[in-house]
Amino acid sequence: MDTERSDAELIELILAGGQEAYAELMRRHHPRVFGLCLSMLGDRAQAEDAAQDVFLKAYRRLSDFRGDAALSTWLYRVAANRCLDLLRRTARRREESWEAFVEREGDGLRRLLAEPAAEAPLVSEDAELVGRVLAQLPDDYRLILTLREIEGLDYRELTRALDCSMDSVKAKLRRARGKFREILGHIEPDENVSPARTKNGPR
Amino acid sequence: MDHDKMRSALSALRDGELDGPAKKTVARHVEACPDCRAELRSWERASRAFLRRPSRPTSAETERCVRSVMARLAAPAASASWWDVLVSSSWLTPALGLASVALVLSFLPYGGLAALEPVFVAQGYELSLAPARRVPAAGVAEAVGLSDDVR
Repeated sequence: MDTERSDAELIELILAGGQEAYAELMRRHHPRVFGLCLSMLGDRAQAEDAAQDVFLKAYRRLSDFRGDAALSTWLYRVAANRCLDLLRRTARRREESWEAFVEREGDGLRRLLAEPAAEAPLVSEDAELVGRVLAQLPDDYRLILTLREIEGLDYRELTRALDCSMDSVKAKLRRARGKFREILGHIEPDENVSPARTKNGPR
Repeated sequence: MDHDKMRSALSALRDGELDGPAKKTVARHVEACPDCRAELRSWERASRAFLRRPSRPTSAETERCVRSVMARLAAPAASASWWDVLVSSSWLTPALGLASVALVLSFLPYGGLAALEPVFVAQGYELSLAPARRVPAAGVAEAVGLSDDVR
């Protein structure tokens, strides 16, 4: 019975000229790469194209992969850079202000907030609401929250995926969550946490 | 630990990235601090509502990606644009850079080129910028009324 080849074995084969082994590698990692692209770009067709770009770039740079992190983390890095690049290029013009959107869709947004954790993926209308909320976040905040909360990378993996220090990861996550809470405050103003307390608050 | 530091550790607590003693300290604080509890709760609600895993790719979508990428890898000469080849060449880009510099320098007026002399000297090059003088043949200078300082 054939056992599944490891990423390291497949990479060795690929670098030795075995291009077909790359197909196996892609099948293994496509769900992750596609998932990140879809979370960031919000559109399935764009996510498909972006995932292809990621795997093409990864193939050309495979000799740069040193193996000191998991291949999946390295692929996340390539995918993150691609998504950020695409988002920078896209002129995201909004016909409606965020405030007008919250006023119009407030009930739907509050329903999403009130729902318990759901295993099933979002229906398309809810996915559009979610996409609009996430679009309020700066792209790098959206990225780090996606990698941490959806893809489940720990802090060490985040330093590798984002090519930054541990302190930078911690600071960025704090700021991203703070920004997310501000956004939440527009949807549910009564749930706003009170401003930062003084230094001598309760221990 | 003061409250601001506790608050700044909430993120790490949520992510399970605090070690034993720090985790206990921050967790104890959260139990006693309604603001920090509310903050953690709001993150949890926001994450649950808006940071959901999207639907996985179908096997058809995965195979489409694999086929497309493998096809492009099999025909690199046909599919790569000249820009892709240029950027991926390790020697071509620096060579083009140097050629561009040389081209720009060739169009610089004398004054501009003279201003660059210290740069070249610092790099160990001599830059001879003395303008060429055409010395008229003997006797011609007097005949055309050229003064000594322009001969």
